[in-house]
Amino acid sequence: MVSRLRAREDERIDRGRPVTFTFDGTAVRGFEGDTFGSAMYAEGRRVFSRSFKYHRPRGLVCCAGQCANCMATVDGRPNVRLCVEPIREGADVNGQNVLGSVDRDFLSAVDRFAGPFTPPGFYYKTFIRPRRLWPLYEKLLRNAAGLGKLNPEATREGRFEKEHRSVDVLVVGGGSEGLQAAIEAAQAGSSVALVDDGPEPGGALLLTESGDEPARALANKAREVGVELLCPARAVGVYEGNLVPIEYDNVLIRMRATEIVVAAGVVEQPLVFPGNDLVGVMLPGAASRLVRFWSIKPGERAVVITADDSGARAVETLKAAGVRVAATVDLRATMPETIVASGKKGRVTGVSIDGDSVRCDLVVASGSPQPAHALLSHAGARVDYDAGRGVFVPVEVPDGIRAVGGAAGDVGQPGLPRPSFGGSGSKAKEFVCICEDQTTKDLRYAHAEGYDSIELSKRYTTVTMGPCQGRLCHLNSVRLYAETSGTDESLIGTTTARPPWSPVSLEVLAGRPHEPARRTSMHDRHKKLGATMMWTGEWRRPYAYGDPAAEVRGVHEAVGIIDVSTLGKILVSGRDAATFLERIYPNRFGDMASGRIRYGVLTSDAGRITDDGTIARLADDTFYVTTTSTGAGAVVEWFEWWNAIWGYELDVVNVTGSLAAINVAGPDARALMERLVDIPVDADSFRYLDARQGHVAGVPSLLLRIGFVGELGYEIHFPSVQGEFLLDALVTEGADFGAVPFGLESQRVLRLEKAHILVGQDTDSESNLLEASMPWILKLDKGDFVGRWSAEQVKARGLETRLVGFRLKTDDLPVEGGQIVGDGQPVGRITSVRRSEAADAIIGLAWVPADKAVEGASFEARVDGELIPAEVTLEPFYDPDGERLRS
Amino acid sequence: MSTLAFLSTDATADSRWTPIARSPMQRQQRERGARFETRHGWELAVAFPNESEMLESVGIAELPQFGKLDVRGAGARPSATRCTWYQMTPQRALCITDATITRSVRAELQESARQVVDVSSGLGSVALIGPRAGEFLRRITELESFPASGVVCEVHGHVLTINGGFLLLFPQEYGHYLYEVLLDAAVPFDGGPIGVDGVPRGTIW
Amino acid sequence: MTFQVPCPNCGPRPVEEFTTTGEVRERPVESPSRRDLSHYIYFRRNARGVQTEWWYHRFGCELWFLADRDTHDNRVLETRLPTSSRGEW
Repeated sequence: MVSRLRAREDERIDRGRPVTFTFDGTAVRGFEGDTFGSAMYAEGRRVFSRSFKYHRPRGLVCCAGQCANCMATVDGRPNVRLCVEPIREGADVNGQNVLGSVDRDFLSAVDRFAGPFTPPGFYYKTFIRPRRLWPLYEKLLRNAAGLGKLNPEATREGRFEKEHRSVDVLVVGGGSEGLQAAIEAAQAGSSVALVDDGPEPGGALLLTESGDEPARALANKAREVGVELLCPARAVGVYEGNLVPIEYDNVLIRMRATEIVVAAGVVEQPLVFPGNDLVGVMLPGAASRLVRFWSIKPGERAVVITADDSGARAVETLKAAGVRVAATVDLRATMPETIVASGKKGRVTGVSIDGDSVRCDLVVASGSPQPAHALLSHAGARVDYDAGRGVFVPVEVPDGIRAVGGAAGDVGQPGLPRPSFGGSGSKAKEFVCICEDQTTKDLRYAHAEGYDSIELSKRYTTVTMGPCQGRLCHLNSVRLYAETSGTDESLIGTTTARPPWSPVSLEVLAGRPHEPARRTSMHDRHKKLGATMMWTGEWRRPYAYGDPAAEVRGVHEAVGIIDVSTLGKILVSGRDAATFLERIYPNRFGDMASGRIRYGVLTSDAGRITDDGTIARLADDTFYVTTTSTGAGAVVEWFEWWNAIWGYELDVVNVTGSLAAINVAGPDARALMERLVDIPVDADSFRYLDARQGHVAGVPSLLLRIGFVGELGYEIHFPSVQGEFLLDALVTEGADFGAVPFGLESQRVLRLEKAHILVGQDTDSESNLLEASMPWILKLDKGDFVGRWSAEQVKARGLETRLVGFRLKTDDLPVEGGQIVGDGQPVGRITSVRRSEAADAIIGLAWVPADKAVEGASFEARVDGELIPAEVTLEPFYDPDGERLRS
Repeated sequence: MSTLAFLSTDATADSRWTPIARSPMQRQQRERGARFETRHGWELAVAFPNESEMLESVGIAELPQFGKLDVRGAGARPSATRCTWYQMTPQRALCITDATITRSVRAELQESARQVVDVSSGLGSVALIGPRAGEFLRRITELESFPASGVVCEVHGHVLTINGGFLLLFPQEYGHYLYEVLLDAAVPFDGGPIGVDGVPRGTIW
Repeated sequence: MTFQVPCPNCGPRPVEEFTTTGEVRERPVESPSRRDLSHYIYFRRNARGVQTEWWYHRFGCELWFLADRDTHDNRVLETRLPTSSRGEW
């Protein structure tokens, strides 16, 4: 039956703008200003959903987005609360968690028959045997109970932004207390923002028959004195540092406030009695909203039972809407022994109070007004039970946050309802948690089983874990526990309140869909040359330009060009530069001449390898240090930390991005470089491990003759903005030599042929220099250096494991990280492995027991479940004497 | 060559080569219809379609050719007017210079500072210009008072104030990513890219 | 973790701008025994309360400083630059 009243003052609907949508395929007509729920109610719908477990018909209870009773799927988006979701033309709304429809759900058989099979913890009782049937049980259970269905194909729709703001005072809640607090703060000169989840602020002021004018006047005053009103908007929670994320349309505002004022009011609490989940039983606020916001008559004949003034206000509003109020009970004056609601087909038809029956189709009932203290709890406030008022109130509130009004516990003197009005007679279900279908019987059962701590029983029964997150059930469950166990509510306490206070979508939290990526200045050229790109930490790098094996051949036989711009590059300069480097590296650097390069390995104070790179001495007091691609920041941080402690005369400058780097390697490298440089590159003028400055294709450069890939090579370090230009010049001139661009995959093979380690690949957080077979790096005959003591102790105790090269006699490639087996036990692992054409074998590096670190020794590696013999080699697989490198 | 000459683009040799400097934002600039010109060895996006409309809200101008000098233990500040000094910490400063005077300012600072390193190539620079630049900035950083070094668009950057807006400096290897984020964030503001020549006179210096 | 850390150079900044190596501890002066070295490398006081820590403003001014932080509620009571033989930092 149509329940829309004639036009009322302050109604939110615009009767001149009709809106149509469908519910389960049938058209529903409403107006602009309606919510889906209000439009459906106005047309006569009373059953909005089926409950989680028992599939009982459920109707509107709060009309404020608190419970789960009106949850439906809107345009494919599940779990939308219809009572607060603004109406939209053409929307496709569907019921969820039903077999059939909301009006005729075949799964309601569960309610009639399955009760004995579904007590608390039923997964572990009735559905535990036989164990092998669990997958079937699980499938049945998942389909029989749940909320909406997620669409796995769903994609992000629309824009979502994040904004950073800060204010002196943030007020959460735009009722009269909140507005007044905001006005006072603004008048005192503070910058103030106020958040309210309604389209206009006002809170409970909007629910009385005095109209919207008082709320409007306060809101206008607030605006006049400079308060920024954010509505509709929701505070997600309170985080450390007084950070309050606010969901405001499609923007997540990260608001920092010097002071937060919580004026979130109270949450009306349902009464617990048999039949309290029948359709037509609702909270006073719901009845008031239906009448005042959307001009809807909530029912024909009402019974009102409340513990505070909300009853009287509801009666006034109901009468103004033409509802017959058949009976009222003020629990402050009278406390019935029993209240039992009865119904037909799930809809309330009458209430019996201490045996006296009253016919009705609407029961407006509430108990204690529970202060909405969650935000205070997020901030660390302690909450305690106020036995005189029957609610939990905040007691110890940290600095920087305070509560006003209802949220602070300012709730007058309500009556204390019985934890349950069922008495001993009624067999009907009395619901404590309507979201999770938990009854008084379930909670008493759980307590009898020994779950007497609120945190344990919550997890066992799932009370407070449903969509309302305890708003409508936490207080009642604690009071019932207190009664059942004979303990004080204050000893039982509350469960931990955590953000979010209200649901927030992942889209809003995620914001814009951009992922930081670092690219070298030659990135677009790589793609033009056909490279497949890959991630190395945050960097994008070429994996290969085609066939990696061909690239390897190109480097061995002609010349290859690789972009190594991602290397960390650090200038260390000052009077104490050499002293500092000697103290932080195991290497010796003091005796290095200007224009020379050394390979250095950084170790931690525990002697573990953390990074490696080259150190070139540019001048007496200037060193140019390279690091691994992902290590630059960490090495700068490390250098700066130790110098903060030592206080040397030193400057560390990170020039990683300032310089690009290209390595040109192969037997024809010299010939190619001769075409492009303005300095001599013959073997005598520019020796292996020399550093020289000059111009390459006119670009000022630092050239380093080093050899990670084992061939004659020059690494060019130059201003990154000229990256494309210089690469083009190299590729153009290189064409005459059959130069090939090469990527990370072929570089891996080439360096492996030379048994060059990759820190983090061949070493881990326990690897030390001696066991990693690099004893020459460690100069114990100098003064103190970071990691010295550990190195000494490893030397003293003897080596237990060693990093060695190996060859495999098989066609199958083992997995990197694969096991090495000795006497049926895992005794080591393979860290790198590749097929090498040049070595005509599968080669790799592995950690083996120290006694196996002998040329020609054999061990077994697990490959595809089989044990394959491998042979140890302590020499590089290619050009072991390094003649090609030093040519 | 002096020890650190290899860091400076202005040390290019006069030979048969004419090195060109390019920015990592070029690909996106071309996609947006920018017109390019080569100046002082730089290929610059000098103009975009509809620039004046962008400037009514927030215009995003990449200005890659500025000199950027990392100065340690500074003595006197440079005498030139077309440069900006940002004292990051008591012992460290960043000096931003007009492209034509980078070399001379560098030389001048080297007289009194402990060390001057040319990081022009290492920092990208983008100006946010227009009446809504401040509002726009709140969408990309939590920083509130300037000049400041902190997190901008999720990466390490520096924000300086200029007439009518802000100058962002950040590691150039994030250039493509940063430009993409800035242009996307500008959409709800009806803002967008403007070229080097679209920057109103007197904005920077 | 969303608290703010007052960098001695830049003022209060979100914690994401920083890295920390944790508790300040005494480094052995000369070659320690194996036990003492293990203790130095692996053990911390791990106080529930205020402890002095090394912090680095990695995504800001890039200075190292000391902070007294209450590990219980993440309030940073004081920060200061380390004293060094170089004087002013």
